Amino acid sequence: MKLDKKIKNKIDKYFEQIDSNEFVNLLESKYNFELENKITKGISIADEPYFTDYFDSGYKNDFSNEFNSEEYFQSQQFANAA
Amino acid sequence: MEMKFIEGFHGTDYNNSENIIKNGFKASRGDLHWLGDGAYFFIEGLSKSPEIDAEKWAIAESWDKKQKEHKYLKYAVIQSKIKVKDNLFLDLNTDDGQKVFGYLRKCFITKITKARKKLKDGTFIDGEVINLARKEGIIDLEVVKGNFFFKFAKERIFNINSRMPNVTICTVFDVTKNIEKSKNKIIKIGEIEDEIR
Repeated sequence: MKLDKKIKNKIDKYFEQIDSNEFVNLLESKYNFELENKITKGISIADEPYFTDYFDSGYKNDFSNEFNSEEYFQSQQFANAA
Repeated sequence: MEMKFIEGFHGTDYNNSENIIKNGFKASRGDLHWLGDGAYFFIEGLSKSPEIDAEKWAIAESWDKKQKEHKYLKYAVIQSKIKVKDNLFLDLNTDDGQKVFGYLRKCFITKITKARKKLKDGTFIDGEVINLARKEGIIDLEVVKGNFFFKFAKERIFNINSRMPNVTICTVFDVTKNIEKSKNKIIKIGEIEDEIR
């Protein structure tokens, strides 16, 4: 199994359609997760948008090459030229 | 789609083993630490002798830490044939497998973060990320493989903790679909002894 477009789209679809609170309720009720209110040390509430942006941007940075063939092709050309 | 065949070894109480041969495996549930729900097997990978790992596991698991006595005095190792289509097999020892799992985990964490929640300290999410992906139909998964550090009798007695994996295991969610029941066979029966293995 690999993270191709089909798998990535399925994962994206699920996480886009489920509300965050609904997701948390699901984890607590069906999967017996024990969740706490954040945030205590290290990252303040005020920093939270940055924190979530970090993860959001992480998706794009990590996988952009694999899902944009032109960009990937160009990067390969650049690498070859170098 | 290409089919993958894996030879797995399961160590257990001898009394359970007869039932497994007769009725097949049962998937264990609620395991937060490893690869989620399913029947667990030692397979070839980091260790070249998974049947020995299964034996050592059966011996280690015989000891009841709370009661300070053996739960069983006779163990068995079962050999099983596991089959799975390539696209339904998540191999966490590969770059491809790690990317799938890593992406799932990121999405999982982001959702929790957006709800202003965090996980209780000490919670392992690996198994539940896999359970969630499978049970909620996010992706189709039948067998998952990964490397872990397992504490056998020696490691338990001497409190040896490590982050360096020593075994390769796999979990099978649907035991009736991916395991050929008629090919399950007991390959070793042994007595629990006081020796440390």
